[in-house]
Amino acid sequence: MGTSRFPEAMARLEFYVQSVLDYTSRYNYSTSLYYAPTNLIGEYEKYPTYGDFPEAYCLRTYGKWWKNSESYQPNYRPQDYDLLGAEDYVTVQFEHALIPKDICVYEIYNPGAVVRIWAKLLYQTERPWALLWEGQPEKFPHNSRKFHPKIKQINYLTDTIRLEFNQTHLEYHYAVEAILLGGYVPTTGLQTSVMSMGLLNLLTEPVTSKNQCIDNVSITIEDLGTDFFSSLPNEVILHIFQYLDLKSLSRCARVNKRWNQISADALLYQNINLKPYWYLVNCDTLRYFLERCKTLKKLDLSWCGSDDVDGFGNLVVSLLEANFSTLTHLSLGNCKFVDTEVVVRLIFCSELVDLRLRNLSWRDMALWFSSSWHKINKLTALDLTSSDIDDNQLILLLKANPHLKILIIDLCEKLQKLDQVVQVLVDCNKQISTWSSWKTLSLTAEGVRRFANCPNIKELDLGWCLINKDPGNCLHFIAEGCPQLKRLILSEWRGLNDALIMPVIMSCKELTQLDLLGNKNITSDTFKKALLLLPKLRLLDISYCDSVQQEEVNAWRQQYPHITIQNYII
Amino acid sequence: MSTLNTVKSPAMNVNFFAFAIMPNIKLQSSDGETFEIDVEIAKCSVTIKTMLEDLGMDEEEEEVVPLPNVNSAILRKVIQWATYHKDDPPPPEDDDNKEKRTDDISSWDADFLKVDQGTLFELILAANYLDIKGLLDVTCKTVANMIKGKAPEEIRKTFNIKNDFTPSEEEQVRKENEWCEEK
Repeated sequence: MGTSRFPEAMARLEFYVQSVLDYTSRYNYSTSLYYAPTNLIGEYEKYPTYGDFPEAYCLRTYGKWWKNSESYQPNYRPQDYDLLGAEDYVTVQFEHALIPKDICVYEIYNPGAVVRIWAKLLYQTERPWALLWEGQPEKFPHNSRKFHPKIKQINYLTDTIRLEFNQTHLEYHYAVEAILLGGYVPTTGLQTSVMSMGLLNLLTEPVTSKNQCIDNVSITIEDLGTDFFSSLPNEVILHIFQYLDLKSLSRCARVNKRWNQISADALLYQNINLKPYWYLVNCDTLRYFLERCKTLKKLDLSWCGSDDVDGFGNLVVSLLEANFSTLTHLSLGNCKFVDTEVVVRLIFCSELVDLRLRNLSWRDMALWFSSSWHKINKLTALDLTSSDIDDNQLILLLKANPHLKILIIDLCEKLQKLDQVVQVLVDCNKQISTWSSWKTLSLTAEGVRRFANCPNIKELDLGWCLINKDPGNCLHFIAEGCPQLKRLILSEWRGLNDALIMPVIMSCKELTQLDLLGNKNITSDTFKKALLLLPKLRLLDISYCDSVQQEEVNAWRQQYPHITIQNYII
Repeated sequence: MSTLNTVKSPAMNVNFFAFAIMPNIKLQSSDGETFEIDVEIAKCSVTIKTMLEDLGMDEEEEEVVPLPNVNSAILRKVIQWATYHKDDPPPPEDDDNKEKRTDDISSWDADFLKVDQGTLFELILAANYLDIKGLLDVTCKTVANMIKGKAPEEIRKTFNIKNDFTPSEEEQVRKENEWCEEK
């Protein structure tokens, strides 16, 4: 790549992260420093030591276990999917803008999840994100890694970097401790203004639009063979087009007049997933889809719209309004544009069955409720991870949506009366199959006991959320009342012992995942029984359960090769 | 007259055992060739199935079903496909999410569809006319895969399509569809 004379004339600088701007995954409470995204700030301390350290940033999910769960959000448009399978991202800012030359990611636990590195370019208002590197996820168990890929050389200043992660191939949690940005800065005012006007590019690389030239080639009229498409009726071409991703459809629109017309058919735009295109999506993109989406059913705008704040929210509102009577699925994970206007319009989407609102700073939730929460009454799946919903609002939602099957309220720290919420669930939501309240702050054994009255429950994520540490005999009731239980997460239920967990192991024969991380009072005999007595078990997490010897675990792994046994000990 | 039984022996075995219960049916292609096949296989075509039900065709009768829109070469391919897939579960109702990916074509189908473009498109037309959802889906997916990831001009070249935009129209549609082009 063209190494220019200019950068070398500038000052070489290196920075570690100054602040964390955005992230999609968090292991811990927002108030906790352990495993927090903010741990990315500053220089590394543990590296090159390998291990599970609370001083690093740790992602919540790993492996296929979440992806294969029933509550995982299906892709609303399978034609459009990310080839590298990015699941999460983190966006960080550095003290000074640099022309990026080096990015180092210090991974200290289960390295290998980085699949893309983006830079947000300074002075670029439209589509500011430039891809610096992308590649398949890797796997380096048992060793820390300084990931220092060869990045694309660009001559733009950036102070904001986004890493995309795919951790679905990793064996356990993934953790990053620090990110280093190295590069050059202008040292004189002249260099600065040259940079800000993008003039450096003119000097170093001739401006070519490589991707576009192909289209400008004038058509050589060699003898064209037969155009078999001309023999196909429109409805068959439509049938072919329905298999295309949005990008290919957009290119079909440029082929000829007939293709242009057919490719604009609203039938092709009933399900839209723009998450894989987040870096391209701006107001113009929304206008494009506003023209085409007439009977929109599913819309995923997760990760989109963080840069084009002006007017973006209004266009989303228009899109919702134009399709309010048909929209059944809506996902707005990490959407910064979700504000009062958007929130208030949501209630008109009365056909919604699947609503995913992860990681929204949703100050206006109260407003939403004070208006007409009850108009949304067909929900079967609701994901409010990391939101500010309070008990009364959640109870109103549960009462209004009797068909609810999936409820995810992980990290919802405002919920103070979860025992009461579970009672409402028992009374109103007979079909509930997934309850996930990871790291919430108000559930007691009394509340957990009530799940025994939810006979359809299959997934119970109660990790870290038993507040008084005293489970009593609540699992005895769960064992009796929840025969279909497939996934049970009981991380850090400190009061749990052999006798209290045994009923589950004896009765819940459908269990495929059992997470007992941090339960120090359970002995290895009980784990042995779980392995022996649960025929469908595939994942057993007994990390930080001190009673188990490593040799014992190794023997179990040999004896039960089809079961993944997680056993991290310090 | 030819029967496909001579072409594909596994089918013949099945037909042999099913013969007592499953009568055969004769299909006549546009160029006059007659194919005798198992009624159940023929019924994977909704068009033929409806025709048989509407006409209330008697099993005793030696009726010939004319298929004026399908020539013998294509009909032979269609029957080969239908025979291989006769035990497939019925295709699911058009679900929004299922079946929209194109990377799930079975290796048998992929081999079966290694044909020239003319044949591929005639198969699409036949599948559409005969209303055989499985065959229509897999042929359309194959064409979709030929479109995916290509620039407009490459698509035109692949399918010999004439660009009928004026330069100014072309510039306009380029702008309209700019959202997905990386700079």
